[in-house]
Amino acid sequence: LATEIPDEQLMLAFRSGDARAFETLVRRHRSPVFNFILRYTGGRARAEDVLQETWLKVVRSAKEYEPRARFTTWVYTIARNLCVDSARKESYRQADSIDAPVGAEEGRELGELLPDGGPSPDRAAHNVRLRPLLERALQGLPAEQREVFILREYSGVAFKDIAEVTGVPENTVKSRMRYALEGLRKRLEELGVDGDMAAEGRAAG
Amino acid sequence: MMKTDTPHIEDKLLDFTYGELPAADAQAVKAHLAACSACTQALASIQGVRRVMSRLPLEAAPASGLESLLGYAEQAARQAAAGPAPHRPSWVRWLIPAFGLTATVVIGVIVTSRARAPVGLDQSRVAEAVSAPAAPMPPLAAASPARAASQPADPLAMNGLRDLDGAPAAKGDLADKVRVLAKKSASRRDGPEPLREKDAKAEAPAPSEREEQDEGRDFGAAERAATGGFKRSEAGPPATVVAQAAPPAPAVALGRLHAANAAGATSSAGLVGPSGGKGNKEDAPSDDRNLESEEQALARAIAASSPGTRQAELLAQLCEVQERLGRPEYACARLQRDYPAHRATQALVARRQKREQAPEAAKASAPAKAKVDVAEPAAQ
Repeated sequence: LATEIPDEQLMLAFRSGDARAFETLVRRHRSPVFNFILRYTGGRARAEDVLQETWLKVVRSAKEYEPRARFTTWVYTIARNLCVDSARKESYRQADSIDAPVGAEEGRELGELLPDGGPSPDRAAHNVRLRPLLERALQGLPAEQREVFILREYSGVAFKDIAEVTGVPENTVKSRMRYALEGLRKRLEELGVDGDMAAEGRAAG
Repeated sequence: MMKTDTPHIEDKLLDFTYGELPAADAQAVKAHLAACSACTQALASIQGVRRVMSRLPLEAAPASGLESLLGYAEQAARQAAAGPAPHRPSWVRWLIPAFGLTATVVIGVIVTSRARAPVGLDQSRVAEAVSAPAAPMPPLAAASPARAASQPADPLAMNGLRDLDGAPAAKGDLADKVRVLAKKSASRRDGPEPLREKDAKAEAPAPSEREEQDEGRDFGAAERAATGGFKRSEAGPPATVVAQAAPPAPAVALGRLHAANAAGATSSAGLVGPSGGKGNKEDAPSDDRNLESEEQALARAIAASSPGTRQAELLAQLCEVQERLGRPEYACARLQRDYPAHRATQALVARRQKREQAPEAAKASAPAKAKVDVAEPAAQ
């Protein structure tokens, strides 16, 4: 396993004029960041815009990047702030029907759901059925719990770094995480996915 | 013993399940779990939720935007590699020799016109400004030494004072003219160095478009430069620029007064050389900021909009704004991708084709000419 150049070094290299260092960073982190944004905002079109804004901002703010900070922490902070902005805008726009965008998105995506290279047809079909439910459960969380859960579960950001991204103490992050897990469990039960939580996972490994 | 341990261990279950515990602690948790059914259950609950939620597939980021992003980064990297110094300050440094005295004159007159606006004209500063340069003000003194020395009621001086508050129309007009000229000359001077490269890459206009393009583009560049100058002036004062000037006419002397006043606003201790970048395009920084805030507002509007004509129009607007800011990649690319048939897209494509056909030709900067431009109206 070749030693991977740390993000922070790549960022410094980019700052002093190495465009390929930036490309490496983008290839490493663009998809994870996109998934964070997508699950935070809950809408694909908006997520694409926020994603692009995030990376443009990384370029523009490269000079301000301090290698003391983890690169991922920095990027997720940028992305998260843009998500918050975007969500605020959205809530002004659709103050009346909060559930509409998510529902619409889900409906539209149901058709094109099959994950490529899924393990087995059975599992894939199961996931197709499951996915909208999971998305709904996630979107049902309050934003401050949702972001913590997404960052830890999908983006792999450590709790202390999540504290930095969200600007609250690590203890708060963890208690939000507990609430998130508890909230998800209840919601999944309501949605009838509790069987999966208990037995199915064990059976499938 | 188990009971006193439990809450402590429960606190660690999150770290444990996410692998954030040091090996020794993780071992301790495992040992505890073997004996404690409550914790085992709590952990199972967490893991159950995680197992289910992990079925949400990771999605690949969209390909759209990647190319333009990398292009933008490359441009930024090239700039970073070209100049070790940060962008704006290097501009300011470049501007200093170019402007020198000329800039002083321009500052003075512009400030005159700006002084008409009620913005932040603190009376005490006015007083300071009036009294401070009183000694080295030859025109007034020469015109009527006695009065200038003895009477603050000297009509000219009074005029000047009044002008600070609500400048007479004629002077205002003059100032406006000069300001326009100053902008023009500034944009003409703008050119060869760091921004040039970027601009050249971003857009190399066809000869037919050249003039118009340059106006808009160079102005944008001038704005950036001026913003830099503006920022800098807060740290290092332009006050001595003022002191060094030998203004030929009362109007200019007046301007000088105001310039001193403006200098007082940012820094009271005037020193160091002519930070000429400062005021010669004083309202440029706000234009730049306007552009950037417009950019952000548009980007947000787009983020909040759904596909359709409205979005296409927003994108077209953002494309234009970003072109002026020298980063035309994102909105323009999206416009082309999502709305290929929109008339704004066609206009954009036409514009770019023209540019590609015309290789960038270096344009001579003309500081000397600018000097003339500026000096003439000032002397009227």
